[in-house]
Amino acid sequence: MEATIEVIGLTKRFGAVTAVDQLTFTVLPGQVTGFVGPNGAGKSTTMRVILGLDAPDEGKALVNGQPYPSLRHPLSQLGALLDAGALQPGRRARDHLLWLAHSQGLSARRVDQVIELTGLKSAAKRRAGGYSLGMRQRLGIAAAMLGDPPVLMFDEPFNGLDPEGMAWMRGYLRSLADEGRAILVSSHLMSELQDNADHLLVIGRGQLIANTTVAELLAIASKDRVMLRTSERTEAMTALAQAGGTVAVTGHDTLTISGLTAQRIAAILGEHAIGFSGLAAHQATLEEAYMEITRDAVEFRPEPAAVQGTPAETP
Amino acid sequence: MTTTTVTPYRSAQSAGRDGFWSVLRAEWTKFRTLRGWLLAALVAAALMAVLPVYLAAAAHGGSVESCTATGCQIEGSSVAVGPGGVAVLDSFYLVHQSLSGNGSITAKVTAPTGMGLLPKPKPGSPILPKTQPWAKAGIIIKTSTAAGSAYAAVMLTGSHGVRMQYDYTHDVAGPGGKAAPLWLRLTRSGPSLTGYESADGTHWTKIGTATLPDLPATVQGGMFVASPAAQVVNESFGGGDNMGVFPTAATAAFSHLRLAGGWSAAAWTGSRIGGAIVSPDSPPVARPGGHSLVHVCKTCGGTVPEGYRQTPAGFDVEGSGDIAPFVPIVDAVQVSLDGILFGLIAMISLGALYITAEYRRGMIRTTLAASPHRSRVLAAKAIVIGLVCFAAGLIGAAIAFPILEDKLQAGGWTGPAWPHWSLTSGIGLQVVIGTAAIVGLSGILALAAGVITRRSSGAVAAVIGLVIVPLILGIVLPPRVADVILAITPAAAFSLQRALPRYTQVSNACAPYHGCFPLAPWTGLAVMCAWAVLGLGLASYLLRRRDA
Repeated sequence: MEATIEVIGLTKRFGAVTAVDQLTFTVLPGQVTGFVGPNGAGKSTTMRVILGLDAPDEGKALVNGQPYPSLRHPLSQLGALLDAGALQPGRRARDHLLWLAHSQGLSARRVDQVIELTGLKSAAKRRAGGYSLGMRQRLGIAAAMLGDPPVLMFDEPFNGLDPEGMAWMRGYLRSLADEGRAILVSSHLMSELQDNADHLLVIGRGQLIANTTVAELLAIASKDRVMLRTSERTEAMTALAQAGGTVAVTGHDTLTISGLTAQRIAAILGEHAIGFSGLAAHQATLEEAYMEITRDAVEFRPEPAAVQGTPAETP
Repeated sequence: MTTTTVTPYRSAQSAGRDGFWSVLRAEWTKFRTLRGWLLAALVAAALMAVLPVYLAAAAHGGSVESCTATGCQIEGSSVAVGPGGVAVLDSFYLVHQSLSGNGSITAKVTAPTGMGLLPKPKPGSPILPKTQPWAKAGIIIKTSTAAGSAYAAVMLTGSHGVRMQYDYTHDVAGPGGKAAPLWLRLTRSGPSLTGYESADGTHWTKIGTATLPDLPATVQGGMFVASPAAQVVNESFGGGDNMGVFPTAATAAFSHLRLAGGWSAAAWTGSRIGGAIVSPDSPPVARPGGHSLVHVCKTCGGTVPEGYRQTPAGFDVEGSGDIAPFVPIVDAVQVSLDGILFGLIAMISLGALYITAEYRRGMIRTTLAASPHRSRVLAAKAIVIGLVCFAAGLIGAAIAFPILEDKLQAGGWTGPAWPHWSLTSGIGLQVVIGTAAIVGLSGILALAAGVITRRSSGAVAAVIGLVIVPLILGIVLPPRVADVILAITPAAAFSLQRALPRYTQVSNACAPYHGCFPLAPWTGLAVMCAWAVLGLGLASYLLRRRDA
């Protein structure tokens, strides 16, 4: 049995809207695979299709080589947290896990194990309705872990977590992957996955934009961009533009240049006797890389100027 | 790819049991771990226990019987007590003599012919058949001329062919296929009375045998005619208390009279049996041709002829009244059990909520991800909510029934017309288990409606509309329309709450607002079951087809 999620040519339409468009990817064991895209990009829809909750219009999704609905003990094959708020508030947290355990033929002992595992022991007898969002996320993780599955799928698990919870979640996901499990984690914030994901699936408007490792993605985004600090900004811009570079003003005395290497820039500035106090290859953040590649795919873009302006402050 | 040598995770945990029982157990755990739901079910059960008792205690009607030496007046009819303490109508005209020991009587009898309705119905009201469907003309052997005494008779009827009837509640249809007039024969041999029919007086067909263990050595036998009072319901919107009861009479000719065995050989005597409806201020009147009696209906002001006349071939007999079990119009038990409706509404709401709460919170996705076999989930939910509702109904009705019976007895709803039933009697069990079944199936209908509409409000409204609103429509709509509604909606199952017996050999203008349902109890239950199956089928189809 291969511990994987395979999504093959998946298309899902809601009326005239194509939520997921010819999506193909594989989630491999031993890795945390980040599933990133702006709100409304189709992440949750894809996850619902993987779980057999929504029927795809085209293509298919396989869990461990089989369609999810045909799995014999589904929660022992794929644990999922879709919506931490999907609880009946009047039921105690432990009872919520208990009915789920019973549905898989599992005993109350396993329930107590996952409660321990997610640090909910002191709150397990409380009604789920009184839980904070962070506690609900933990409860959702506990539910996903009931069947001790080799494949896990979490939709926005960092939502509502405090810094401590965030750190716990990162560590937990890491440890699950290190055990050889395949982990798919969605987020609309790349920063949440920066130090955590091994592999990234970037999705926008239902289409796969990037399917790559974190390192590769950073390289793509950083490639070919150089940051220059100079007091003779106007002269520098003119000289570099004439040499074929694309120059952007990013601050009072800073410019970002693409299309020219740092060496070439230094040479050009020397030719024109323009002084400069700093010249460095630009180190993009994952966030920038994400902005870069999803620029065309963002459904609800905040303000173009702000998107352009952000990279400026980072040296 | 960053990693090439990953060992995929393998759980050490042994897989649990799969299949329907796991789903069922999960659904039960889900229900029982919400304290509010358990509490709601208990409150509903308590309501179903208390309110029927309250209604029974409050039910002091004007139709409670008043009994005198000659019999009881119940709902305007003279009612006698028949064998086994059953309330009976025993009112007819008999031309008789006594028979000692064994013997038989044979006669050729014409079908009873109605003599009209007196007084004539008002213009606009439906025209009644001239001959009442259950008008009776035939030969009878009876313990005595006292009303309510044991008997067996073979007869021709207005429109139900040849019958053999005995001790009021028993009715056997003849083989049929022969045209009146017919030859009828009744033979007594000890406690056994056997009825025969013949088209020609030579070839006889047995209809049936009655065993009347308490029949004395000397009995009365002879020719009789009866014609039940016509009940006319003027259909109108807003209810049908606009009902009239009109006495009718019928006549029949008897010929080829042949007696065998220990007959007294005295002259034939004409007697009115069950004389209570003869007005005391109207003495028998001699009429031309030997008719001896005219009785006057006091309440309706008309006159109905009765009597007999000797003819060259035998006798013409005219008679009015009926020989039949008496079923009161008001079923006090059923009316009291309307008190379960509040508890029923609570359980319907719970049935809908059991699924719509999951839709509201998105928990349905957790449920369906855990059990992707969706029709299994629905079946498990139906079993859980069906049993919970059944239990609530059972507890409520089982507590209510014995107490409400006592309250009704104390309020004058007593025997013979309204017998006292214990919880463990056939009627007690039918009413209590039937009530539980109604609540259980309503819960399942609410669950199905909840899946279909995915909203509590819509689901509850739909099921109340199907189960409870027809009961109200039954009161306000004309009986003919009400009967259709109560035969095709799930409300048909409320016929299970009927405590009074139903007899096919009685024409009863009993309307839904009196607690009469068009369908028999178990047929009514079958209608409700069909609705539940249909509802679950549609719900299952939609649940499987829709995205969760």
